[in-house]
Amino acid sequence: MEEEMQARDEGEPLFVFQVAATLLAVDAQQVDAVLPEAEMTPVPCTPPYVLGLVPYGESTLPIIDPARFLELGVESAAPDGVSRRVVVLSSGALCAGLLCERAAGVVLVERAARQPATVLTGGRLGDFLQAEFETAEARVGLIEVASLLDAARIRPASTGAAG
Amino acid sequence: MSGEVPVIGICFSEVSGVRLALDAERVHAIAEHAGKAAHGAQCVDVVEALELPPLPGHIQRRAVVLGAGREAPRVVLGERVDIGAVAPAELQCLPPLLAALELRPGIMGVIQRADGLWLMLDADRLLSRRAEMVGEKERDDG
Repeated sequence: MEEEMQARDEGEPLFVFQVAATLLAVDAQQVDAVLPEAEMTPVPCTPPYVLGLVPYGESTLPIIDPARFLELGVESAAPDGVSRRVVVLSSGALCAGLLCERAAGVVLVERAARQPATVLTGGRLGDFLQAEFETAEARVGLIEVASLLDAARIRPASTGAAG
Repeated sequence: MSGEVPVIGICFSEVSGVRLALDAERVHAIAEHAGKAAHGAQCVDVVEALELPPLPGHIQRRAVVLGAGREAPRVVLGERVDIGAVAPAELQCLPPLLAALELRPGIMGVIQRADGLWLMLDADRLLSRRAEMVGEKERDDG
């Protein structure tokens, strides 16, 4: 009980990463791994936001371009000489890697520091934002992983459609 | 106990930069010339079926023939078709996020080899989809 109280005081661990020029965060418990960008195998009949597949342990991992999926208006691109990162997210049976410019790491955010999502805008970002919070660097949007992965899931009717 | 490891015969072919695989058990022969025009609905071109970038016209493509006789269905692949074998454990399901691709266009799984990932196709599903497309076109043409 005391530990629980202490954890509540310290805040919840959120994992922060950069997509295009936007800082986003997810519940750190839903981050399986952070990987370096690797060669991807293209998968036909998928929307453009599905970049391909990579080996992931004994199985394979679909890689998503969150900038395209969220329609942020720019494609993900790291500065020259800087390797991008793949943030592996999971929710239930769904698992995917988000290719991002930078993985900033875990921050502890108190519940009281969360604000309604009103500042960050652009494309479909608003569909998945739970809240926003301020860091020393910038305002960060907290993304709901379950709804993001479910919306990114390929459905029979959407195969071959632009995403 | 013989200690033998069971394997699955696979036809591998790279088409427009996409690595594709088909169960070799279904393949009766590999045709040097695709022979696409003669077979109509019984012939499926993976470039069309999978909406891949078209290949340059001068490339001579090969087809796998799925049965005996001139009218046997066939799947047109790339310039090269290689036969190999994989252990059953190397053939994996699609990740759940992409599982719908099994129904359409017929990507039934992924083979993980030392040289990378190969997409395993369901030849029957490709052919049935092709037949549907031909039927739709005939209806549209009146």
